[in-house]
Amino acid sequence: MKNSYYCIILYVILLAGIITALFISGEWYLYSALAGIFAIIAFLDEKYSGWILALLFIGEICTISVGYALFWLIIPVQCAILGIFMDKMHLFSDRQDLKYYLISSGLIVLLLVCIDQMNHMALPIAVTAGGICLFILYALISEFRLRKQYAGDN
Amino acid sequence: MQMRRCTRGIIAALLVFLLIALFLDDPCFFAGAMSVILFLVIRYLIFFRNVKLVAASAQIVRRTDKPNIRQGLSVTVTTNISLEIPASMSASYEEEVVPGLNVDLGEISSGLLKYGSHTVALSYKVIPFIHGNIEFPGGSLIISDPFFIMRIPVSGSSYRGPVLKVYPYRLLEQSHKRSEFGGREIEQLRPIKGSGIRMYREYVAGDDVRNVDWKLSAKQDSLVVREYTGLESMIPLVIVDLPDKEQEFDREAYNKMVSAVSAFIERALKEKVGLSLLIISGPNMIDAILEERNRARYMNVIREILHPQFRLHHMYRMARKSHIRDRIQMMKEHFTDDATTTDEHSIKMIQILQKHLLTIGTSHFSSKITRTISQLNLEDIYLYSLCDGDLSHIQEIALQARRLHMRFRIRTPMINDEFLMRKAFRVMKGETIEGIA
Repeated sequence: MKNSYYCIILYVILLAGIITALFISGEWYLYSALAGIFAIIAFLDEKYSGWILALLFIGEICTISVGYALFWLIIPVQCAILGIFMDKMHLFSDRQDLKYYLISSGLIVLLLVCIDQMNHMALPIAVTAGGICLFILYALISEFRLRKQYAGDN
Repeated sequence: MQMRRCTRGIIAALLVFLLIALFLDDPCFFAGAMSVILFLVIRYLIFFRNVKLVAASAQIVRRTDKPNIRQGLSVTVTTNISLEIPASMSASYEEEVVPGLNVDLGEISSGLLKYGSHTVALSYKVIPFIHGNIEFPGGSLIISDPFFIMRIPVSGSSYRGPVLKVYPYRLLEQSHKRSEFGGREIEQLRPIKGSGIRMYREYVAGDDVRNVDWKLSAKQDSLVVREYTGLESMIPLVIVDLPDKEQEFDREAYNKMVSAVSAFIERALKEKVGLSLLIISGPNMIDAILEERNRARYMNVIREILHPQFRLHHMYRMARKSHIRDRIQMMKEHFTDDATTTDEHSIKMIQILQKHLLTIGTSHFSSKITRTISQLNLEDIYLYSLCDGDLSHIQEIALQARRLHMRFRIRTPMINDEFLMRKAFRVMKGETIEGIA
């Protein structure tokens, strides 16, 4: 499978994050196994059903594992995994997509700064649930207005 | 908006991560889950912006080949769609069809269109089963990316139309009003020349010179022409009853029936007998070829027309005059047998039936069948049918054939179907039903 220029940089960042976590924690077998599984899935044939979901799932396990070694390592690893995921789904087609990817990465940094300040997770989870509900409501209203615009009186 | 399978999987994983974060009070799980939630939210915003771009770029122009049409005939609709699709998006367009319009041939969906600007032309045929002014209601744009799918109805005033005027096709025959001078329509037989000579007579201006008997003319010393006898053709009529396209039918049996019809036509043409072919689908006349000997024309009809057809009218809800008369007669006989009866209900029923008998119309199908078979000089009528479903129209043909003293035979490939045949023999009392091998 041919990887894009962005994707190679992201693989390097991901590998660097995992190696750092490996040196900090000393648990070489866990990180080596996760990196190996991720590499196998990433280079699998795209026709394999559900491979993209497996890629993201293993990527998230990697993110959480490196977070246990050093919390701030989540930022580069998570951004790299999301970038690889987008590239595999052919979502890096123009500069606009790159811009949105950078915005997502910036928001992840802000989010981690906020999480780092929290003593417990219950309140942020409740706030997240509320935020998601509000977003769904916003999405439904926007969709209704769009449909109405094109459906006319029907 | 719908989520794709991949998105639903991601959301399920996120919920598990959030629950673990809640129970273990773990910031790493929460951070992982929140990052992906943020990613999905941003992807949705991008998707929604792209949906608006695609919808705004949509231009839909629809036209029909005829503005007016008769109920049951087909009209070709052409829809030109132009769309601009951004990168990583795909879209398709689907025409909405009004209930009462049946799509006969062609595509009503554009198929999946990817990145770029596209102009697609959809062409399809519709058959209106309802009458009145029918406006085409637009369609739907189905826009998707790797995470989400959205269907947008495009049925605003600029996407609807045109209006198709559909005139009704009569089910009942118009009542015949005789003129004050006693005039009425008559059926005329076409004169067909035979080979026998009826008489010789002197030539008069206007006679065909090919009919001059030169030998006799030389003897008589004046031009003598032969007058031939008339010829009555007794060629058979083949009626093919096509199955209803909207109903399930035995395709293998149908193919067998078409082969049998083709073989019958081939045989008749080979023996230089000729035949008449009438194609019906239930009580709907499809086509007729009367007294034709051109093989190519029959083959063309077999290829083009002998396919299942949409049935505009059905006869199973129409009471026939003969049935009503029989019923009244039966009820009256019952009274005669039992003179003491005072069944109010039966008396009322007879009154209702008699009143109905005066107002009931003749079906258009019946009068067309009568006109067709009485205009031909027939001895035999062969009806090829699957004999499934309603048989009222076959009963009607059988009745007309009996009235005109013609032999009527039903040929069906379903002779081995015990259930259908039991029903057919019950309904077609006394008619000959033959099997097609």
